Amino acid sequence: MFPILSVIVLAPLAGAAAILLLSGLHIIGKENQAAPRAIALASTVISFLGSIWVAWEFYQYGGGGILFEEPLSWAGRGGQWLAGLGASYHLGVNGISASMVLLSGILGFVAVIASWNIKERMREYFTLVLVALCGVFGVFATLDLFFFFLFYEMASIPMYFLVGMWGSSRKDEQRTVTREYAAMKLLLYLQLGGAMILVGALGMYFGSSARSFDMTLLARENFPVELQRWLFPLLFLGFGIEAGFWPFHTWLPDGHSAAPTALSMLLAGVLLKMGGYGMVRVAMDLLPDGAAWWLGGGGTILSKVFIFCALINILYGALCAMHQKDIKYIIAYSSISHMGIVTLGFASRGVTGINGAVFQMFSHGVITALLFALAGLIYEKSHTRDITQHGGLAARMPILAVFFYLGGLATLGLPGMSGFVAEFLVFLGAFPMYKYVTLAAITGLVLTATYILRAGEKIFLGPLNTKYEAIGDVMGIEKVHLYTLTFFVILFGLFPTLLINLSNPAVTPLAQKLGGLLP
Amino acid sequence: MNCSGSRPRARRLRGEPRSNGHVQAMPDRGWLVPLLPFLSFLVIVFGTYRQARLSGYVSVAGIALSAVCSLALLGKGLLGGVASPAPLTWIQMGGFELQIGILLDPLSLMMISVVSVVASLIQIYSLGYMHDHEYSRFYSYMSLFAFSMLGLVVSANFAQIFIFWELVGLCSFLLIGFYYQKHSAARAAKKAFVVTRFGDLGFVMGIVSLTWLGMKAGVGVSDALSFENLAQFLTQIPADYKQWIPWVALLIFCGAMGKSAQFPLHVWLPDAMEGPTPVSALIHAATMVAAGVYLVARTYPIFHFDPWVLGIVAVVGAITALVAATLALVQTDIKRILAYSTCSQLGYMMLSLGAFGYGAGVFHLMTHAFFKALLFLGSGSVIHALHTNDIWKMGGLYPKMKDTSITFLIGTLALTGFPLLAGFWSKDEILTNLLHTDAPNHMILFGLALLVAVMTSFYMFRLWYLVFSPVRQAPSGTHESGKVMTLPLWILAVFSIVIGFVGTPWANFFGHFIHYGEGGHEAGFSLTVGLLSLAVFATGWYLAKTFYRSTELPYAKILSIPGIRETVALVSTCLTDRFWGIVVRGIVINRIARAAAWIDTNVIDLAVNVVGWTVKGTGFVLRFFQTGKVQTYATYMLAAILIIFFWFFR
Amino acid sequence: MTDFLLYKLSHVGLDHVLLMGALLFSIGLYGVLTRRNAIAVLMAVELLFNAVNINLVAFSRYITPSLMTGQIFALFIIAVAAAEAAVGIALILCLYRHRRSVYVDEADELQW
Repeated sequence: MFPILSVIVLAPLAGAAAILLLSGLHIIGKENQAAPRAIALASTVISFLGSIWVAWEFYQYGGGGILFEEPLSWAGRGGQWLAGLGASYHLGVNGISASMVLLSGILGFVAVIASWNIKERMREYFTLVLVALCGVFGVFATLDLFFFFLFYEMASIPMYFLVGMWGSSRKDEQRTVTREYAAMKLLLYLQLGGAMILVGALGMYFGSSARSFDMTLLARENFPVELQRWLFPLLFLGFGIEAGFWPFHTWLPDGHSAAPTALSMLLAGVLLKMGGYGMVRVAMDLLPDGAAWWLGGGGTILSKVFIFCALINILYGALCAMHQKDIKYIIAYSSISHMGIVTLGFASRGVTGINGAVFQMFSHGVITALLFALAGLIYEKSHTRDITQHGGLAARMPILAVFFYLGGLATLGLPGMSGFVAEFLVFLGAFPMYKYVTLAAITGLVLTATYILRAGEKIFLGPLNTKYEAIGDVMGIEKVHLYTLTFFVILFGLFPTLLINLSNPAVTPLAQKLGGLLP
Repeated sequence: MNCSGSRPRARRLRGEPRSNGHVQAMPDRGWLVPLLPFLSFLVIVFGTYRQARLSGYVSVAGIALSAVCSLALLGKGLLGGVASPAPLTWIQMGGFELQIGILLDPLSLMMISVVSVVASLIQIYSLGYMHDHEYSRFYSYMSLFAFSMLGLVVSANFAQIFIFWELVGLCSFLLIGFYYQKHSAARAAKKAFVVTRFGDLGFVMGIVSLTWLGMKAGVGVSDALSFENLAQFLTQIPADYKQWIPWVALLIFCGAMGKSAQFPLHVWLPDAMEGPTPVSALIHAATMVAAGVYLVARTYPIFHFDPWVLGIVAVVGAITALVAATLALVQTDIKRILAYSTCSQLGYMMLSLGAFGYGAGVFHLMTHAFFKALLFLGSGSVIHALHTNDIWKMGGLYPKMKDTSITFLIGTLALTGFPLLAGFWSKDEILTNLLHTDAPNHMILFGLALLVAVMTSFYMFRLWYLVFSPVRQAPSGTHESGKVMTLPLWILAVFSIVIGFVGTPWANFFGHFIHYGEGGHEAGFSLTVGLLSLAVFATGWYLAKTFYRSTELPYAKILSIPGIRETVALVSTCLTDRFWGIVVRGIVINRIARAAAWIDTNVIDLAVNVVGWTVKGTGFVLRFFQTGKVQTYATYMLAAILIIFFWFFR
Repeated sequence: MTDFLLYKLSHVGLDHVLLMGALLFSIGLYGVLTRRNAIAVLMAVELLFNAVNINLVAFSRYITPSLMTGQIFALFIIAVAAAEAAVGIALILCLYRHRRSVYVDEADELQW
């Protein structure tokens, strides 16, 4: 069979290698912008098309198994790579991973488009972006915890350099954040999460009878309940830090806002999803008893901790977003709020809730990338991210305003857009488990509406700020990623089945294992 | 949803027989009704956006065709032969299913007819009212609205109605903020959206808890949310959980309160008048704001389950009717008067629904749609001519704008309950029902309703005398609006006159067509009520006449004494905006959100930074041990080895 | 007691050799830690090596005389030490060329 997953994962890496090699041979000069861009675009397009193919095949298959498993011959633990470690280069996707691979494919492509106008150090920039993308794809495509961790680090470490070198600093009365500070914070938090994940993974490795990192083997392993109870919070929190879990979320606004546009899109779009994906695919799938205990089933106050943190995420993130002036901070805090919905969905342990959470991961990835792209465009044109400095821009940039409102309305859960389906399913799934928490979480809807509309009003509506008489609308290549992202937001909003049919067959057995509700 | 297009095909493929065994020449293409405006929306957005005029015609054509379809369906429905098409599955996972369906029953047939007819007339009117360069944007929004509203009306379940519920909210947002370069419009749009969202929270909670009840009853999500099976589903809920049903009903009512601008969520409606006048007529008078009332009527079984919920509905309705009517008395903006009047009339409908007057409430919903649209369009015609909203700057328009004035008078008479006009019948039915119902405290409610009727009559005639009465002098250069605007006015005026006759107490076609439960609860004719209502109408009219029908306006001077009007205004703001201003801006945004943001920077981030600083400080101390001299390090090493050595071999 | 001392003085045994190795090591260590001149440090390091060599040979000779592991190991160390000395002197030469000084306490920065 054609190794499509390897192609998806390794295409960005090959692109990065090509840029490095050609630069090393002085074929691509320092001033050459077109070549690194073209290489990056080509490799991400390959991944994008591949990921669409994977998702489509999976949609047609519609089962709960693993597809595109490779290398098939090594799956029998024969002559595997790194056999002594119990680790192997083992790829394969189930429904949840397939949707995440699709998300990464979309975002990898649009991130390159959004980087089109990067001026300085193009070669280094695209090399790092492509390496990170390889890591992202790898995380979603691998079936081996060792490689999972490897890819995880591959995705997170380039972020440090990208934020630190191409990022922007901020200094105003609300906050002073240098890009170096933001980069360091981001890296440290990701590494803290990574360390917890590593401990959890090693715990599973040494606790398993097979001494293996292979997730398919570990899933069959019946870990003792005690061990699961110890390992689960480590893994869940480790991934949670990456998903902006309160109170370990403060890297997120600083990091996202300091990052260059394309990187903000990637960070919010897929890096947070690596956390959410790890929560469900590693922590919950491999340690179901621990998950059931910690997610409400334990009967002690400890088993409510994660749920309350999810609630705090939802409300607190939204409240913080209401008080921000910097457009990127607003979006970043809204990410915190929305990732809380993901956690709430997972915590519901039921089919509806987990499906909703997976949907929310996808939908939030696309929507927030759209919003960050717009924030980047606005900044590029007006040279400020402070929403109070704008005003009336809709008159000069109608297309941008339309896209902003599309993204904003999707964020606040307008039906017809993907955000609505996700939130609705999560609430439906979570209510039977945690009534008051869910009711409280629903109030987040009105908070979201408030901050999104506030931002929209301050930037686009009202009389035109005279400073911006000559400001121009988006044009040319800038539109490509806006159209792409909006297309997916509306597509999955109108036809949610396209995505739910991917995740549902994988979620149903998981919910059974977790003892959650089946509809 | 454009996926609704394949519904009849799916049905045909499955070869299901049509229900009722009626032989029908044409399949019931109920989905055409919302779909046609959606098509025109798509055509405008993706096709004719650059050709303004064409966009207008596309939109009008779409909604007019939709109106034709609706009327055809209504006709078929009156003959008793309409079947709802089979629903389409929208989301499915295992046993979980959400459906999109078209529910065609008398209530929805009536509503689609009213909505599409009024919307067509208003869109035609807008051809004259709006400026050319605004056409494309305006008509795309209007088409989207028509689609959403019609979709809302034909929704077959809670999830679907919520989808369209939010979409009409979006359209309302877009259209209120149509003149987005005005601060006030932008802010009003935001306010409308957020305030209705407040109510929607309850709606979502209600839907979510309804599915939970469904789970307890062993009923699938799609059945638990379906309107058709609602009454039956409620009986299936286990006894232990029945106590939750009224709470669910209250939560759903929250949604209705937000959308129908019921006290205390009514504050957005007057501000919504920032939108173009046709929008106010269509969305904020005739159709969307009535959606809340429609929702209560649509989900009546759940309200009817426990009478105390209906009692609350009635009380909220009565308070809204009273408060809004009071506020309408002192407004100076022509559209705000009408807005408060709308609010008040919506309260009236709620009051009626809450007092078991299902048929009367829905009947008033229908008649109100026509005459309030008429009134708004009339005011639009005036504003179009005078470019002001202030009634004190108008006056004596009758000789200059005959068509507008006469139709406006017809609308006024219909609203105030002049005998034989539309409002008379519906209002009488409400009052009669209130008098004879066995709802708790119905006499108090009856008294309140009469009081509101007096006030309505007063503020409407005040408006008419101040704006149209030839006693005052018209501003110079005033002229009548064009035919494209006056024609819809006349059509609506005709409707306002005749539409009431479908529901006279003696031959209540309406009541037979649309009723809850067994029917036959419609109150008959009551001479007492008839006379009372005539007296009420006359009182209001007389008071208004004495106050405002003269050039000197002697009594009006009382109101214009410095201080009096301010006092009234102050009281009214305390009742309305001020409260929400304090809650939302004062507490939520300025206190809680600021506190959260402060905590984020100064507590959590501080803790993070403290960790960082600790590491840094440790490093600062330790760096003195790092001299860079190899021999120092070797000495440390030696010392360490010795210590370890002695530690182990002591 | 006297007998023991006499025996110890007249017969060279393992502990004598070890004692000598220890002394040599201490001298070498002292040199490494205190000499400023890099060449002297290098020489002191050679002393350390040789102390170790002596130990290895002594253990081999007195404990497992039939095997030659200690001696072979010592040969290896001598070879490595020679290489090390060559590299070390090259480094010192480099250092001298850069700084005109071979004092180790002056070369206390990694980057210069």
